[in-house]
Formats: sequence, structure tokens, C-alpha cells
Amino acid sequence: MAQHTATAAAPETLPKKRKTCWHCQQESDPASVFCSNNKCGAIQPVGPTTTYFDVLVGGRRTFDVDMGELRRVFLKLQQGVHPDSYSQKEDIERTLAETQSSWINRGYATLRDPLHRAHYLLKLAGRKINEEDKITDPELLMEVMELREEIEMAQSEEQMAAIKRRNDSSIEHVVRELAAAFGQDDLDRARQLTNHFQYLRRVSQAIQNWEPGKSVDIGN
Amino acid sequence: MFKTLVSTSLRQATGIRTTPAGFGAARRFYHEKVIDHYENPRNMGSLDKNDPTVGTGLVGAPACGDVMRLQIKVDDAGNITDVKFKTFGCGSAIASSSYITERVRGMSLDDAMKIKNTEIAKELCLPPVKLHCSMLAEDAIKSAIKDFRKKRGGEVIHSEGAKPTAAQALA
Repeated sequence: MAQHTATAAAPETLPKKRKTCWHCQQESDPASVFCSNNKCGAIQPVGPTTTYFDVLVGGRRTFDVDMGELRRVFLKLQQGVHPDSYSQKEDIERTLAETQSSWINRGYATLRDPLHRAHYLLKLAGRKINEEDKITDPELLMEVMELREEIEMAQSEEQMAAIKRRNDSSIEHVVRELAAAFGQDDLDRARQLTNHFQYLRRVSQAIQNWEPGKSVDIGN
Repeated sequence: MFKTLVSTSLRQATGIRTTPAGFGAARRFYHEKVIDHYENPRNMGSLDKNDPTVGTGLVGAPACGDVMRLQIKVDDAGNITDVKFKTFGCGSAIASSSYITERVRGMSLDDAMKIKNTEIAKELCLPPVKLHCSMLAEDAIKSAIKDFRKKRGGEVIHSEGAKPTAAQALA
């Protein structure tokens, strides 16, 4: 039997819905990775409505995530569900460990990155930014177009370094604004800022991929 | 040259299916018509946006971080005499905008307004996941026409005898 490992979910944020543990048949917290019944502690499937916040940040859906704490919780959980520890177990436990392990990895990758975290928060709030969404905000589009053309025409490492500094500081600014928007539950503003951030991220990638004389990318 | 810019972590986090990095993989993923427009873009560049005979359309798809600029030069009869585009985005977005520049050159504004993304998608054999790229190109030409008409201060420029369509009324 897998050792019981504490999940990040604080008691007061436990969802009301319960589920039955596949192993001990007793009620267990649906967001917990291991059966919350101390005598059992069996690894559980990922609940259909469980979010990354439930498992990795104690259930609070927030943009302000403590990175140190997130990493600590992640490493502890990842250790507990590592498929290698389940090689001698029943098939069902091994399969659950594999599922949990990759789900937790995805969760960590999503929450540690401010852009992915913002997209995820919007999705959870029912305000997901879809592929077919379009914007015509001339100010933003003009800024992005100019930046991309500047990168395309840059001749030297020094020019690129200057563009990078500017872009990095724009990103810092947007991240601060995002924290404020999510903090005030202003989802319209958060959506706008996430769009802006997405563009700045693409600019960062273009900067990274820049080489003198190289032309446009064919990303995604 | 061909680069997949979406990071592994983003792919994992969003579940968006992307091509593996590398020229060969991108070639297999994109239809040859898309590759052709990507490698030999038609009418890439810019026109003077302050020229009163030029209309500029600037649109973006935020989920992908794509940005597309399409500019038209219009003569007194309301026909498109020149057209340029600049797109930062995926191969399908570049091909869609390149294709539409060829398509609208010489057209009347009224006819150009009627171009549907489905035509672009069909011509370039875009898969369903890339349909939004053709929609972006349709929006770009509509937005350029709208900009040109706005510059003309409501002075209606359309071919003789043609009545404004519902789309124009909404534009």
C-alpha cells in the first residue's frame, strides 16, 4: 500500500462533494491524490472536477502563487506518485500512479508559468481565450507589429539586447497588472492582459530564435 | 527556418497539438499549397498607411499570438490596384494572407468584401484546426476596406450599380 502523503488541500477548502475510495470503499476527499482515510491511503484517480489549484495550491484559485511553496508541494507529491515506486504494485495502482504523475507535472508546468496560469484561471472561470478569438485593439496590434518588425530588421546582438530589455520590462508590468486584475476579480481586464502577455511571450520567443539575417518563423 | 515556437510546457499545459520541431515535420503537417505561399509569399510588404488611397487592416488572434496586417490601395472607381501584407504567425496564417492578396488584386471593394474564409480554407486545403487562420485573413481584408472607407469619410466607393450589402452596412 502506498504511504499516505498529505495533499495540499487545507481542511476548510475541501470540496463538499465526496467520492468513494476504490480500495477501502470509504468516503474520501475527491481532490486528494491519496485516500484521505488514514488506514488506507491508496492512490486515487484524478477527480473529474479537480483543478491544479486544488492539488497544488490548497484549492485557492489565485494568480498570486507562492513559487517556493508550489515547488515544495509539487516535489512532495511527485515523490509520492512516482511510477517507479509502484512497479511491484497491482496494475490498477500502477496505472493510477502514471496518470497522477503526468497530471501533477502538467499542473506544475501550468501554475508555475504566469502566462499559462492566467490562461488556466480564465478557463476555470469560463472565460477561456479560444483559438478563433480575434482582437482588433489597434494600439496593442501596432505595438506588436512594430516590435516584430524591429526584431526582423535587427542587425546586431546589441540591438536585440535592447529590444529584449524593453520586452522583459513590458512583461513584468503586465504580470503585475494581471495580479491586480485577478485580485479584483476583473476578468475582462484579466483577459485583455492575458492577450497582451501572449503577444509579448511570442515576442520573447522571436527574440530567442533570432539570428542575424534569419526570416519569419512558422510556429504552431 | 521552420521552427515550432510553442514550448513543450505550453503544449503539455494546453493540450494543443503542434508539429514536432523540424523542417520535415512541418512539411508533412502543412499542405503543399501552404508551403508554397510560405516559401514564396506574394505581395509581402507595406504601403504608406497615411496615403488617403490606402486602407489598412490590422487584426490578431490572441490565443496563438498571431498578428496580420493587410493593406489595399484603391483607385477612384473603387477597385483595388495594389495590396500588401505582413503576417507574424503560423504557416497557415501567412499562407491565408498571402493567398488573399492575390485574390483581391484588381477586385472592386464590393467583391472583395464578399470573400469568405471558407474559400481561402478550401483553396489552401487547411485542416479544421487551422480554419481560424483563414478567418483572420477574411477579417483583415474587411478591416482594410473599412479603414479605407472611413478615411473617405463615408463617401461611398463601390462599383456602379452595386447596392451596399448587409455586410457593408454592418462594416
